[in-house]
Amino acid sequence: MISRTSALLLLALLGGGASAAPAAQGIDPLLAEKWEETELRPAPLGDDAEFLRRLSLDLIGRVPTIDELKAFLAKPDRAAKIDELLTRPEYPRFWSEVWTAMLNGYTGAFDSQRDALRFWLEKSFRENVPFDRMATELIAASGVSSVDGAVNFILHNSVEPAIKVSRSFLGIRLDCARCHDHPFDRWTQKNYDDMARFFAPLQKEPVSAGSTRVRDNPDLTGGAKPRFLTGAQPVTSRWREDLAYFITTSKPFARTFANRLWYHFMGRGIVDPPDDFNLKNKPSVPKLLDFLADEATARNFDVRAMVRLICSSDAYRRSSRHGARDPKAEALFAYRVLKPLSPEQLFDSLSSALEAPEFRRRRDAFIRTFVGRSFGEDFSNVWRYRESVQDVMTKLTLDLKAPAGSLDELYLRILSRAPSARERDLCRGRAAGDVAFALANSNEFFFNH
Amino acid sequence: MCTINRRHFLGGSLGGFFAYALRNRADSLFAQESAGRAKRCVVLWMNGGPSQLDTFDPKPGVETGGPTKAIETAARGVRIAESLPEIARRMKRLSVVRSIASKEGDHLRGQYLFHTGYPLVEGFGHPALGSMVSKETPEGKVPKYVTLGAAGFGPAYLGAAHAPFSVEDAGQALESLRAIAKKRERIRFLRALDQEFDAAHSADVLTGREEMLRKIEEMSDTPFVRALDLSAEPSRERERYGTSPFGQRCLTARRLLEAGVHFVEIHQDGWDTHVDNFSAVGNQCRLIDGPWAALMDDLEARGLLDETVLVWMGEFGRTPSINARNGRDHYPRVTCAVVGGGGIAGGRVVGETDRLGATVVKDPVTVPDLFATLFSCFGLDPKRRFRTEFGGTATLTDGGTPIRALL
Repeated sequence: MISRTSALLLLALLGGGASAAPAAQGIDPLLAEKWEETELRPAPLGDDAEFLRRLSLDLIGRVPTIDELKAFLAKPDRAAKIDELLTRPEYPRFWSEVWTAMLNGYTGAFDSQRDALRFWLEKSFRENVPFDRMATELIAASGVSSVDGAVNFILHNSVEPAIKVSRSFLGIRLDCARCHDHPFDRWTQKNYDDMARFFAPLQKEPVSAGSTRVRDNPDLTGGAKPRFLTGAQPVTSRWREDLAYFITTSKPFARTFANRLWYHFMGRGIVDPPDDFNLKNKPSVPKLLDFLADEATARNFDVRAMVRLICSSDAYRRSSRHGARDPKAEALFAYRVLKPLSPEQLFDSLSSALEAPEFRRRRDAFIRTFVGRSFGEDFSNVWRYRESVQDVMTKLTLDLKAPAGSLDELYLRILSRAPSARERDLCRGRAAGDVAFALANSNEFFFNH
Repeated sequence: MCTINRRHFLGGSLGGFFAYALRNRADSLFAQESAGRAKRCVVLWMNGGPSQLDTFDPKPGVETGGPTKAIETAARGVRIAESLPEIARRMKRLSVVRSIASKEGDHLRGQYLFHTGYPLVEGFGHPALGSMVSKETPEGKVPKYVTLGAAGFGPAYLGAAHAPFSVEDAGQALESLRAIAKKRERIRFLRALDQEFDAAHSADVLTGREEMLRKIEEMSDTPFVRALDLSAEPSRERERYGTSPFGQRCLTARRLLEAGVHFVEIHQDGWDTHVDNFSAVGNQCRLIDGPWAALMDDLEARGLLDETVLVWMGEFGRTPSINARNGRDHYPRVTCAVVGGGGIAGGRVVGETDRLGATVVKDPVTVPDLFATLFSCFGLDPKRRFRTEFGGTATLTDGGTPIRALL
């Protein structure tokens, strides 16, 4: 008890003590307050192995190897592990994939170069570029698609950039407002038209095969000036830069950034879906959202700092095991919801859990297969469960070799845990191949839990 | 077993396969639906954009017509290209729509439009015709929407349960289904091992995945797998369809429809005739003529043609002008489709183009109109609404009106 009070006090002091006596501050106290209010009993914390599996999937996009797992269990220093994973080259690579899917989906419309965008994002995450700067560069990018990676975001979404930009960086869906006033939010068709004009000067010119130059043509800024959702109007002739400034200095930007990170780690946004802030879709824990948004602003949108903040909370360790499904408990993060692995996570996890060098060379084909061009969706929403029967069948027929080792080792490699007594019984007398097949196709493997 | 009825939509288990498929239903917006008799649909997809002038809207003797000759058909007054003699003989069962106009002259955008009935807007996907039919037909033991020869277009907001089962290569598909059959015991073992995790995490996605595993275990020994295996077909029957991939796909389609599949798309490449249009289109026609006719005959002989909608189309028409390489280029302003079966009147022509084939001069038809016509065959209201994943609702067609002359 004493330690918690003094920790709070310390936190208040370190935080600069803006308000006189904050009731609760920090992720866990804010959640605890909400649970108390609603008389919810949270699930217990997961164990160290569960923590490591989550953290590895969320930061480097794959399950831990058996050696990584053993080393961590011998010395379970969570803070050190977070730091260590953040310095691995796999972290910027995996995060660039997540954000590329969010921004540009899995196709390359209008000759946009998906890889160039991904490389640019990878570099940005590696250098820990503050997120407001990344957003500014994405929104205001000019240049050639094959060289200037950031430009591919606007190029890809050039039919209605105002909609995609609003969804991605403000969590606001203007989708309805392009045709009529939003049915249950404040946005009007005029808001949309005013926003869309920021992109009126946008021009695309082919440079060479598959390469496009994106720039703003100042001749096209003559008409009515655009207007940001707050009413602000550009003060220079570089409208997209002005827009980026309005966006990244707004409160919704900080909230959306914080909420998206929270969604990435928790499988559910405080506002959920994470790109749909509206009057009818309120945050489930408003104080927590404000706290995280304020932290993001105070830390100058330092991505790694925010990762550390969220991943070192108890909330991040909460167990996914629960009784009957309880939507209220899910919305208040009283237990962890399941999150299906993305194709990238699934591939890298299979490659690292099983010894399959042949398989490892087919990464691109695997990802294409399991995203499928069948799903022309907007990934700024969430990575939802979207397996078809045929996808499952294809997975079941993958030729995966079982690594050598005992039953315990198989379980540790694939599921990051030892088998239960029941599982030992079920597996008795089974070939290693059978067990590896079952574990690699199991629900437990397929979900981040 | 395949009747579509209202009660089924309201209370049935159609969406139960996936929880979110259920959520997508907008029952309160349910509109009245007329009686239609169609239960199945086959699309003969002519990838690349078939030349209307050298297939179903020939203009012999005028400067844009080229060397293509026209022949009489079984339907009085309907003349089509001479390289489609077998189809000409069956023209009483088919109608030609000569007056479709669109704005999409790009392959992908045109393909999207003719697969979904909506223009492509990146990020706001619309379900393919096959996914919509899948959604509106009852659950069975076989996949409901199958594509032959291509990946096909997907379900968008209707959810993965209505994704196409793509058989890009029938041999490979059969092999993989047989591999699954060999793994049945392993799959049962996997399901047993899953139980502990599933019990500790009650979640719809887990029930959904478990249900899929059960289905797959069943599917390895179903009429579906047997239908894909053409070696079971008597050789005399196989010869009628020929040995071309298109012929094999037509035969597979017939077997699949008999096995209970509701929607089959047969893919045929080779229609993007920028170069040597006339010999290329002639070859293409001769290639599809026999198998297409055989498919119609077989469906008719089995009493299935009246409940199976048949559509022949591609992503756009081609220019009346002939380019320097004796080819024709993309021309969405005049696009032609052929429809039949499933209660559609045969032997008719809808719309007319001018003497040169440059523009539609009578009864213009939009792609949504064409889709509305197809939905009417299924007894579905084209204005029927669905809830989309981004919060709004979308109608079955983009404001289409059924073509009265065909119903």
